Amino acid sequence: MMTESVQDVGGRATRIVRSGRGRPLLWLHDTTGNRWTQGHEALVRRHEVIAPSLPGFDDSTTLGQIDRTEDVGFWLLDLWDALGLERPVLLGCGLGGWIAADFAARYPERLGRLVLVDAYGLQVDGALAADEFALTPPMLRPLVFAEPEASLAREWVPDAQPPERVESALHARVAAARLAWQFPYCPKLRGRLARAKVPALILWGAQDRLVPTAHAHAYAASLPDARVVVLPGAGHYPWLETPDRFADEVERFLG
Amino acid sequence: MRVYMFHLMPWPHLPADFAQTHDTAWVVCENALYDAERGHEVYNRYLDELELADQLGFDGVCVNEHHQNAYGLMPSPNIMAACLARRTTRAKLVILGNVLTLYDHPLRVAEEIAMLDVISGGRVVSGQVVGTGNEFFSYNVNPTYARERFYEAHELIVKAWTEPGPFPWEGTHYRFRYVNVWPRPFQKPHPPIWIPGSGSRETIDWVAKKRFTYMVLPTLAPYALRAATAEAFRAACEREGYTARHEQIGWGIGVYVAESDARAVQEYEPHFWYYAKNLLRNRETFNSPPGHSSVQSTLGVLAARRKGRPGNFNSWEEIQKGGFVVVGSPATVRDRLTEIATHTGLGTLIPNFSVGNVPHHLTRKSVELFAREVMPHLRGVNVDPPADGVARAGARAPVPA
Repeated sequence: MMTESVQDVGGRATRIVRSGRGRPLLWLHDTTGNRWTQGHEALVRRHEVIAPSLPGFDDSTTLGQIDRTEDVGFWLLDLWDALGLERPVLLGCGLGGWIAADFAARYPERLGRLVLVDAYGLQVDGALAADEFALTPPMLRPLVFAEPEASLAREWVPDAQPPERVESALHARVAAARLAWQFPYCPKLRGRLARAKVPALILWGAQDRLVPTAHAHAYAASLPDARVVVLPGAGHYPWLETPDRFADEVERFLG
Repeated sequence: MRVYMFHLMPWPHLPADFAQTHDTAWVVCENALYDAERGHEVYNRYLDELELADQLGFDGVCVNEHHQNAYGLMPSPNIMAACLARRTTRAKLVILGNVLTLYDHPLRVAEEIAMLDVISGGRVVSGQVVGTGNEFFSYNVNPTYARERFYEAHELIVKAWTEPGPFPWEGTHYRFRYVNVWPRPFQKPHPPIWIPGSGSRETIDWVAKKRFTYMVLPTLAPYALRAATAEAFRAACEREGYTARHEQIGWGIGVYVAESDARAVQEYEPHFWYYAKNLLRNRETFNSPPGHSSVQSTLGVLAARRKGRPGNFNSWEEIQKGGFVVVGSPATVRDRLTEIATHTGLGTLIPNFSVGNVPHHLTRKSVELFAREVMPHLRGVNVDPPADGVARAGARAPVPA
């Protein structure tokens, strides 16, 4: 059963959604914010999925001094303490993947496994991620969905947010831009990834034209123990477009 | 009231099918469309028009800052003001404004404005702006820090002008071990400061608190929306415990004068559409990057626009009915501007005569008619009583934040 609570994490009120039983899997969301999806649901069969809102995403006025992944890393240390986490699976999507990779390079001993999904974070020659803040929804949909005309694409990247989501979407966009404005990577991360001595799965939508698959291979080449799985029929959000296949790959990796 | 001629310096040579082939005149509008030989003519023509305003007795001339676009060709307004400083003799040089947020070295703004003020013998007005959303894309400045950077840069600049240096500045966004600006400004305590704003509550409250001049933007918007913004500013001044001086209310607006109403519309309208359809063409994402305004402020602006701003401008009737611009015979323009002044209390009129791709001879004719037959009648409208011991146009000692 899904539960939602607000917990104090290092002095920061943090909304945490959780569901399922089993090995803890911490899910760090992408720039669209902390929304429970079919991808989360597909993983709860064998895992306790724990999905916290990244700092500022629910209320951008609380961002404070957060402006780089390192800052989020300190908040994650607080989250480890607050939740009593011991070597959970850390799964990060998009922006959350960048945060997860950065954390893994700094604190590999705190992780059981690492899963990066269509992650930001690396500078790859000739494969600069598209500028998600410059593109209108109709321009963005063909870059992030394998099927940009599907209702799913229009639900997640609508031309205009429905009234009940206008405010929360604005907050998420501000928090996302704070960390991922124009160049959503750290040039130093690649050289640091050798320290991330934890088994890693790099999952990527075959048709992600926001963050090209060259980034998946760059992650795999830089991490000491990683393999790449490219998912057909998915763009930047494989957990939305192909949730069962996404969950199968994660579960196969986690054993 | 006082009258300051504004120039946007638009690029007038976009291809005829621009609106069909481009979704924006900003940021990614390819600079292959710029031609430097025509650009040479354009710059010098526009500067001639501002010099003409000085000769015709306008109180000032205004330049502004935009980057990487066809809408306005002044990435450095201070260079334009420098050109004008030596070619004009009495007009105020209004930089409207410097985009403080874009610079990691706001001291450069403090230095250049002080240079201009000294060279011109105290004729500079320092407009200071957060910048349009576009500029944050063009200059890779994180828009979520737009407000913080603006306020901090502003405080730093004013302190650099007014307090003896050297002193250290240890801010959030700027740190300088040695703040010690040479030269110091000619005007004391510092040049007047004008702040353009599009109605966001946070800017209105801040300008009211500082007692600066607030210039109502956007320039092209329905009259009712802009009048409400002016009213909100006056209310904010009342909340601060004083009544706004007329000169604190700045009003930028498109103006065109010809021999008759019909002729004015006939001459103006095609160039207006070049401006509205091409130069204003933009993506919503470039206009409103995340955090450029606070979420609460964005929600308020969205709500106000739903009420007051048409999605598309399509007919001249719509433009005229909405009061977007003031176009007509000298008598019509005089009456309408007087009516606007009476209604809004404005004392700082900032007409823009150079719409779109209007040719030089028409701009010149319009400016001359305005200076001769309209401006003298506006002089007596909304005149402020002398302020004791305080320089005009908002040049008051800054109130600590």
